[in-house]
Amino acid sequence: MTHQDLTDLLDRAAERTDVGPAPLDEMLRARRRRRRSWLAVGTASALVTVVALGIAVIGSAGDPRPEPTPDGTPTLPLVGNLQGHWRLTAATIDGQTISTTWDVSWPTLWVNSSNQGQANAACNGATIRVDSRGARVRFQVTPFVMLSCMVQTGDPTDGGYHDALRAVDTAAVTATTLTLTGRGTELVFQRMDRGGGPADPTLIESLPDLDGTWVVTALTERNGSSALTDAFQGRVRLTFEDDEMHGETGCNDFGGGYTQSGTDGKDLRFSVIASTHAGCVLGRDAPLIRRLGDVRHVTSYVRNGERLLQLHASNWMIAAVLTPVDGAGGS
Amino acid sequence: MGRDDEFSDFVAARWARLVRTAVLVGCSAQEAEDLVQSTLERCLRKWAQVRRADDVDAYVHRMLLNGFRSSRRRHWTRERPTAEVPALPSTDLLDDVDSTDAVMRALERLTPDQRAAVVLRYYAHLSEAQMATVLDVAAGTVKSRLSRALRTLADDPHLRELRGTQ
Repeated sequence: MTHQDLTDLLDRAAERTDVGPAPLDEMLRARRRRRRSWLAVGTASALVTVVALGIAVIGSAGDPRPEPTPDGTPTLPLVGNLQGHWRLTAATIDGQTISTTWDVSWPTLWVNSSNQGQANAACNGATIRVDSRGARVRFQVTPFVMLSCMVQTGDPTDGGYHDALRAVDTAAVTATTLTLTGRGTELVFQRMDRGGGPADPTLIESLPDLDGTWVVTALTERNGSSALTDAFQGRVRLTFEDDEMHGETGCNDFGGGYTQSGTDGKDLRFSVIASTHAGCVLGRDAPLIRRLGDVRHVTSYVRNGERLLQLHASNWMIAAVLTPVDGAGGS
Repeated sequence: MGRDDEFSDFVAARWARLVRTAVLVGCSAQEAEDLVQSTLERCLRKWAQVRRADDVDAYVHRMLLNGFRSSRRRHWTRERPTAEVPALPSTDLLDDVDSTDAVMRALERLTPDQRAAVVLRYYAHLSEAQMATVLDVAAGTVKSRLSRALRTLADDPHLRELRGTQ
């Protein structure tokens, strides 16, 4: 083969790649954002110094958040390209790098077309609003759940995710990644809704295998509060077999169907067709059936060699956490 | 000419070639655009240093390859499922697709170092001296990598077939 042959072959192969236009504006904006970020850090340091000298000047003069209109929407242009579902894959919070070897639940971020959404980490969720002034970004974070999970689902930020979002002041977006940076903080997300997928397929499985019997070890209400008291622990079960589903709510049995779809098998819907209505000695039945109706997604994880399922509502909030019985899910 | 103007001209001239270089060394098309974008953003942040470099192209290719190697050390660049199936080429392009596939398969038979050497020499058209800078190895190492890579490619049956059809 001559060198010219090889050059021709490589040229022909390379030309088969359609290359989009260079995102020049995005690159130039990223540099300006970074400069502003450094400027903001410098300004903040100067202010702290001034305060230390006893000259009270801080106040709220530096607050970059836009004034909301009466209907609550910000008056300044919003960041549009953060929209979508994102999953945290690497983080530095307060200067500390979070280990990338955590084993279960990766915090998520969901931003809708109104630049509002949710930020969830394990069982802790928050509504968020993204505001911008020019290229600068601020997250307004309002927690709606602050409870400990019934099982340790392994929030790698150990509850620091929401504070980290509050510290963010710049955002850089590519087709598949979102990087949020701020005071000592860097959060790197991978897009979930354009084939971005989880970070590590050995930890987060690409095709959840549901077959078998699972114990529901955590169940949350729509407002995020726990719906599974200690009395029901181990008694709420769900079985998937022969394309049908049946289970026990704690004192009633039910059965029905389910549909798992999507190219990665992460879309899940239940259709409950029958349930007994026995009186519950314990007073209150676990609201499993009602919450199953809210389920839209499923993710499967491997922890210490054991599979674990998370059932999510449409906003990816965790509705239930399931652990296997007798090798459910193929483990 | 201001820094932004210089950078814009540089990007306009190199963008497509750099993206395709990234594809040939092993990125998917989307990864390649992300990689080149992040590489160029890093270049812009230190533009004064980049333009002072003896060889700007070698400098940028070196940053690109370093970025590629770093990305391969992270887990999340592994193959992952996608909800969107890439558009298929029309049938009259199938010959091109076959040849592209054969070339990419042949490149995959090389070691990462050999593959980078071949792409830099025969696609990016860097000199062996430039390649030594980019790959941070001696010129003799560049020659030996190229030599081994060419032997492997010469033995590749698909490429041999392609050459026969040219």
